[in-house]
Amino acid sequence: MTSVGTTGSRQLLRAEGLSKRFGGVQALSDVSFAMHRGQIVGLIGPNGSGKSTCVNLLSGNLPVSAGEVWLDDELLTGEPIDAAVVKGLARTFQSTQIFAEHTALENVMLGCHTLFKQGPEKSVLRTASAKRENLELVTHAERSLALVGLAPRRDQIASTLSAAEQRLLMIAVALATKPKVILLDEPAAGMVASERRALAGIIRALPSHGVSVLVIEHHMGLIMEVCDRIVVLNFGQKIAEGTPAEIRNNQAVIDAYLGHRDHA
Amino acid sequence: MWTRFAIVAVIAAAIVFPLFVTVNYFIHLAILAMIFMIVAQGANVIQGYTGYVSIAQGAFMGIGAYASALLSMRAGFPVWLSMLAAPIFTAVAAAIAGYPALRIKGHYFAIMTLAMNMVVFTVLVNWVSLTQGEPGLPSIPSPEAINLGFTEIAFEKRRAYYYLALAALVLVMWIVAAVVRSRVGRVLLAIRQNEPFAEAAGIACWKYKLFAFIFSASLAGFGGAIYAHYMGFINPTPFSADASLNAILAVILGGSGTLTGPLVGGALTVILPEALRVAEIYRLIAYGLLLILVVIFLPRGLVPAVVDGVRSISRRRKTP
Ligand SMILES: Nc1ncnc2c1ncn2[C@@H]1O[C@H](COP(=O)(O)OP(=O)(O)OP(=O)(O)O)[C@@H](O)[C@H]1O
Ligand SMILES: [Mg+2]
Repeated sequence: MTSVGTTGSRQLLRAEGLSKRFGGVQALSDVSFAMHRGQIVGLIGPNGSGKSTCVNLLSGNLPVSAGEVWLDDELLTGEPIDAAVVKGLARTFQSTQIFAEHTALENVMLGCHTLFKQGPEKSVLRTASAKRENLELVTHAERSLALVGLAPRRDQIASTLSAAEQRLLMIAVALATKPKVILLDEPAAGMVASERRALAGIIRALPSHGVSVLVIEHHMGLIMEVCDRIVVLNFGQKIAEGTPAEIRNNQAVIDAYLGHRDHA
Repeated sequence: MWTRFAIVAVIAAAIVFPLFVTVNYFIHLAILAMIFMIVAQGANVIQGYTGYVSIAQGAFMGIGAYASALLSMRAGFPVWLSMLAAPIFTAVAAAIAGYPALRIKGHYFAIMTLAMNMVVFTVLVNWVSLTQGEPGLPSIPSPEAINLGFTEIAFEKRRAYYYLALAALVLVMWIVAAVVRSRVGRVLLAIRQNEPFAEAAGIACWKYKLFAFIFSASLAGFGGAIYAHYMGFINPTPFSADASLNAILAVILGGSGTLTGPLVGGALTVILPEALRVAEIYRLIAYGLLLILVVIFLPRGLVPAVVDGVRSISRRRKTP
């Protein structure tokens, strides 16, 4: 069930009773789940079932209406997004987000922002220590690019990359923050089958680099292939949780998807 | 290599300029232009690099001008010290005003800064015991003469003040260049391009926005101080929201987010209205028309347009 993990079954990320209300819409109600170090967990559900809302609550992009988020026994709820990143939680977005005018490497260097130990003023004054640290982090950024297969695109302006490459770049920026866990909101959106297969390989390799994964996806093939566990949402509620095999045969899940004509 | 050569050439040209220009009025315009370039470069930091339009540069210029004038006249500071204290004073004012304003995202920021400008203007007009209100502050001293042994530089002289303004501008350009080319500059550009993604990358954007705002304001304050001790007289009029809009215009005209754009734009916004005086009553109409044409045909500003033009010509030459 669990794949590669350093400390076995210790809980890494825990959502407790997460709820979110937008005016009259209860987008998420009382959702709890936990993921362990080294796991790849899938978060699935029909359109509008609250998956992105769940990620936004976990990352701190949206304030919770109720509930708590714990990362490695630290409470994240109420912290700004950048604080969650420092504590080891990174995320990507359902719609492609990049720094369009920067090169791929410069994009990823911005993901290294929290890793700089030398103050920003040293960078302005161009001290030797700041230059040295910058070089070290360029190496780290290049590794992040290589993890998603974008090493050959290092110096290309981000807006000139293909749509699929831009989505991979967004993942590389998140990986550059050295996260313990990364939340991927529909990483395969807009990708063709071959690109999706490459993405599956990239995701499956992440735990071996010390990064656990929570992935939202509509493509059941990809989810079933990469995930250790799957959490299923419907109308903002958790309706099932289990291994891919258990989820495939779960009657509530089948009903939810048939009800939406949205199955894979 | 080429840029370094161009920088040296431009500075050299600026140094010899007063030797060839006999009309005092042109020197006067050049000084005002350089002061306004400093203010516009400040606007560029927050507007061009960070992507947040501030409509308060005029107010900060005024705060710097009054701070420096009053420090030297009432508190007995040497003028040189007042001129250096002015940007610090302005920075403190910007920090207090900017902290709440920058917690807000997007367009409300522009409106908040416009309100700030109006408040500062009203204070300058109405706090008569300090600012002497609408009639203004007369007899603001020039910087103390510098004795070089064999000769003395007196800054009441227009030519001497020209070099003071030039030195200030070069200093400002050097500092701004160092900031925008550093890691800080990359973060500012990232905020302009995609603030939510910058936050997701772990950047505490509000700190950098606050820095950009304070930095831009302190440059305006510095420009204001140089203005006050040059004119020898200030009243609130040149520090209204009009001045802020001119600074925004200078950035757009010259090319926002480029180091040289505000130089070109700042010079144009000072010199164009003067040059168009020949057209008398049609002056403002002609000025407005010119601006509209630039914005329509060169939306990124003059400097990027010229750079692109030169590049495409040299490329055409290379490939016959
Ligand atoms: N900012 C918002 N304001 C109001 N309602 C929202 C907001 N964000 C989401 N919702 C609503 O909350 C519900 C859940 O949306 P969410 O985006 O989380 O679903 P999702 O599972 O990610 O769907 P999809 O598969 O289409 O991405 C939807 O009904 C949606 O309309
Ligand atoms: Mg979604």
